[in-house]
Amino acid sequence: MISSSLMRSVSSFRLIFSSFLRGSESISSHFMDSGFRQNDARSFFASRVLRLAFLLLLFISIPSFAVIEDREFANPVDAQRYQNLIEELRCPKCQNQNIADSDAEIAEDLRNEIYRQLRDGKSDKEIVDYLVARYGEFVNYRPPLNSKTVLLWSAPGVLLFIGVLIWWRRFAVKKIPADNELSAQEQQRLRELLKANHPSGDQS
Amino acid sequence: MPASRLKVFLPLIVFALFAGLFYVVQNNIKEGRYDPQALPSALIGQLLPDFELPVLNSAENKIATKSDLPRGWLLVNVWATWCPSCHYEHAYLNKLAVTGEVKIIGIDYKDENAAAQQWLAEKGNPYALVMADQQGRFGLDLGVTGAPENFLVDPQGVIRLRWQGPLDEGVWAVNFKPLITGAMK
Repeated sequence: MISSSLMRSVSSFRLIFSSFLRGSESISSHFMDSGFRQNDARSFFASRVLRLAFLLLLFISIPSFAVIEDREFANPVDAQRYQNLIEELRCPKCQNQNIADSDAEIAEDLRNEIYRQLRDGKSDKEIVDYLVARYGEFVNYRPPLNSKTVLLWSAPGVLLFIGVLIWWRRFAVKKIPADNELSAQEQQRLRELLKANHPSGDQS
Repeated sequence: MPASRLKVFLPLIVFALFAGLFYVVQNNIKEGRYDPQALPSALIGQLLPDFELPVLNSAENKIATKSDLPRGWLLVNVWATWCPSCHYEHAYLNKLAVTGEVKIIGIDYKDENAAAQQWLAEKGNPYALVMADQQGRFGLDLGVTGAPENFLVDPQGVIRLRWQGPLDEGVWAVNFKPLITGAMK
């Protein structure tokens, strides 16, 4: 039995642990080369404490954004599926939040319902379909591509294309005119102007 | 040079266009023609979902199902004693019940039975049938996001309209009544 908040902790812990492993490995090889000295031990300790403190900071901030829940899951896969579902489904009440972050009562009800259906062995698709049938495509932060959503899905690409087009027109195609030689008349005028501005003539 | 002068005024023109747009939207919100929070219901044109709910005012804990609903046009009103807009709405529901245009079915949503019974005793009971949905499960089936919400159900049992927020005479006349009278012609 693994709770969802525990799952998050486990994955953060894995991160800390693996980076620790790497850190201590390099330090132990250093010991083998030069033998043990007190100085090394102190810096080793300091760096380890600092690293731990820094990583603990990351560790604390991760779950504090989401609503804190304690749910029991049969296995870590279900816990992860639950987490993914509540992060990808939109709260129909507080409309710019997913149901994982929302404190609205309806979001809580929806989390309970998703949890119940997961335990009943429903697939992710069945759960999403259940909610879409009741709340419409709106609840889906990852709407399917169809005739109604084609604009939504294609907009980023189209806008990027327009942006590239504008950039290309403005900067890339600014060709140097083929005929950039001054005519004899212009050369003469240029010389006169230069002479007028710098009578000493020592600058070009 | 008119072209370059136009360029100077371009920011002002853009500002004026946006100001006009925002004014129209705000005005529509103020006059109740547009609600930015309102969601199109996924249930329009579909049958009212099945339910099994305890009847609120029954001594013997009777369970009501869809077959217990009266015939004709129904207004399914999702309400609760904890909902401030429901206080405002209740007076109009009492009036509407008297006209007989629809039978009003109450869904007491995530509420306490005692408080709800007291509410009906004090404010009057406009409902032909009122049921308690304490867990909000039927609310989920209806796609409810809170209270009050109103669903107009035609005599065939099909949901024709969903209205999020309180009903009053204006909302009824503009949004509900035309559907009923239109169907009768």
